[in-house]
Amino acid sequence: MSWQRLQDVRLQKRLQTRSRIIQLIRDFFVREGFLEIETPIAVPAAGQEPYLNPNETKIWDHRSPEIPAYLITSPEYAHKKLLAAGFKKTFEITRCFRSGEPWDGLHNPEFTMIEWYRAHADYTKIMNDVEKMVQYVWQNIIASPEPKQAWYGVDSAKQSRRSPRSLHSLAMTLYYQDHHINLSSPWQRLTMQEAWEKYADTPKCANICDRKYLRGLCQKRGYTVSAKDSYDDLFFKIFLTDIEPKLGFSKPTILYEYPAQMAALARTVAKPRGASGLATKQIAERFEIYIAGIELGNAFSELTDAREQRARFIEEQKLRKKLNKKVIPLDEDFLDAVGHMPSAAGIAFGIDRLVMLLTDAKSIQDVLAFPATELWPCQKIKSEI
Amino acid sequence: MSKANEISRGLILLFKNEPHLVVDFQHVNPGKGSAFVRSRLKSLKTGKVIENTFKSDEDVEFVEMERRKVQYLYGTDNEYAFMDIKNYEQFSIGSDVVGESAKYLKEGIEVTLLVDENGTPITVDFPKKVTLKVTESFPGVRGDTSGNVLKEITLENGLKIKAPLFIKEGDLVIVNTDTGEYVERATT
Repeated sequence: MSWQRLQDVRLQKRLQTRSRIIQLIRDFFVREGFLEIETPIAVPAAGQEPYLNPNETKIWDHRSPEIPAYLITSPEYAHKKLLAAGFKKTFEITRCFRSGEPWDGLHNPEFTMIEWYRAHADYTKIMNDVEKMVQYVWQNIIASPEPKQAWYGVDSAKQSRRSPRSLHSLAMTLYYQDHHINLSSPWQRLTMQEAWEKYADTPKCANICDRKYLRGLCQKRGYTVSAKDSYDDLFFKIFLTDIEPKLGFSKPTILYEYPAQMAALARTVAKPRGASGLATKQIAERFEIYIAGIELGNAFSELTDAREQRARFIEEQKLRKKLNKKVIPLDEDFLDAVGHMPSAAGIAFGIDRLVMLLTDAKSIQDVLAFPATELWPCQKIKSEI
Repeated sequence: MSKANEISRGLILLFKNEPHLVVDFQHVNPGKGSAFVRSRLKSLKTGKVIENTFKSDEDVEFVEMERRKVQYLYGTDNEYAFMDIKNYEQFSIGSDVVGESAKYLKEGIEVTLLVDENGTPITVDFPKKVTLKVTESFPGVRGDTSGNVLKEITLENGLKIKAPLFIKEGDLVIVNTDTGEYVERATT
């Protein structure tokens, strides 16, 4: 029986640590002056990123017929409406739903996310928040008086041989699946262009925003290329093979300045830092955070131009249609709010994955009491990486 | 035609018109982008391992091959003897077919033999992880606590690998046959 899995002592300890981590995250943001606001999980119009599959459901009251509803893929729209209304710093820890993704070691169709937003700020503020938040959580967990082994990722062999001098560096070292990751400041900050130079050996002047250039690069490297491959496809064939698996191993990596076409809700950069072969409009203020090759969060300096936002949504609707996906109605209330938003930045950050890292758990299922693979065992993926 | 999202460990894939064994794979959904499959493919001709990322809906071609579960018995310099688990038939395979992975063999280990339509063995598919006993391990050197400190250990079949300092003689360790690296200490 599936419930018996919950008798595993290691799982029980991880769930205890999980609860503590969530409590500490909440602590951190309240101390930083953020307001926790709960927003709906069932909504009339879900996010419509072309490659996400929101869960559809139905909703009705005592006299009306059923009307369609969606479960959120992210609470983003609600928080931007709050920003437009004048809230300055908000956060929410909530459940999000995404179907159609593999139920592997990094994905569960229902997962816990924290999003936080800052008005009158750009994404560099969010970079600092992430760094400070993870450090705060980690330091408080390892300071806990509870038995240490299997609780969180520290190298127990090293713990027993520690000298006072090494104590500080040890305290900031996360031990995850045989990797030692130094969580102390400053974290590694790499622009997308720099990451390509470093790991994919592209020259400084390379234009990684150019589809033709990427196509040539894929061919040169012997990767499969077809005429149908879009810019994004070519980009990811190189990024996922040569770059992403190397990010965040000695220190957490903040990867920033994304090609503008990969950031539908972000503002473009006025003056890119890492770019040389690139024009300013080609780069967007987006970053992702990686620890041990695992992507934890995705952040933007938010787009606040309502007309541009509408244009991008319509493009996305077209793409959804082309991909044979249900076209989701536009959230007009959201579009109106975007026009009233101050400059702002925000992030979506996966809590389950953070718990995995901090408890040295190999897969997301190891930090969930009831993972989907237990609820629907027939869907278990046979082989993992 | 099959789609790349069907890729799974142990299947044979035609990559650039040459058969490759899938030694590892992972589905990835980068950010809010479309879905991809990251793979490690071992050429059955050259033994070389390459990495390729496919789009999930990319067309790929798999090659059907007979798979026989066999148990390793013993080996000489250039031949290895196996037994078919179903019909107890015993036979030898040249070291060229087993390839470099021969170093993971130990008496009694079960592996999968891939056979072509003429019955000729093409390659041996090892389990992703094998458990081996440590026969030689010197205590680690104290003092150095920075970075990833490893030492060399010897396993029951003569294989030498790098492992963390706390590993002792008599421990069972799990080794990744794809990367050749230490994975973890086995609990039982």
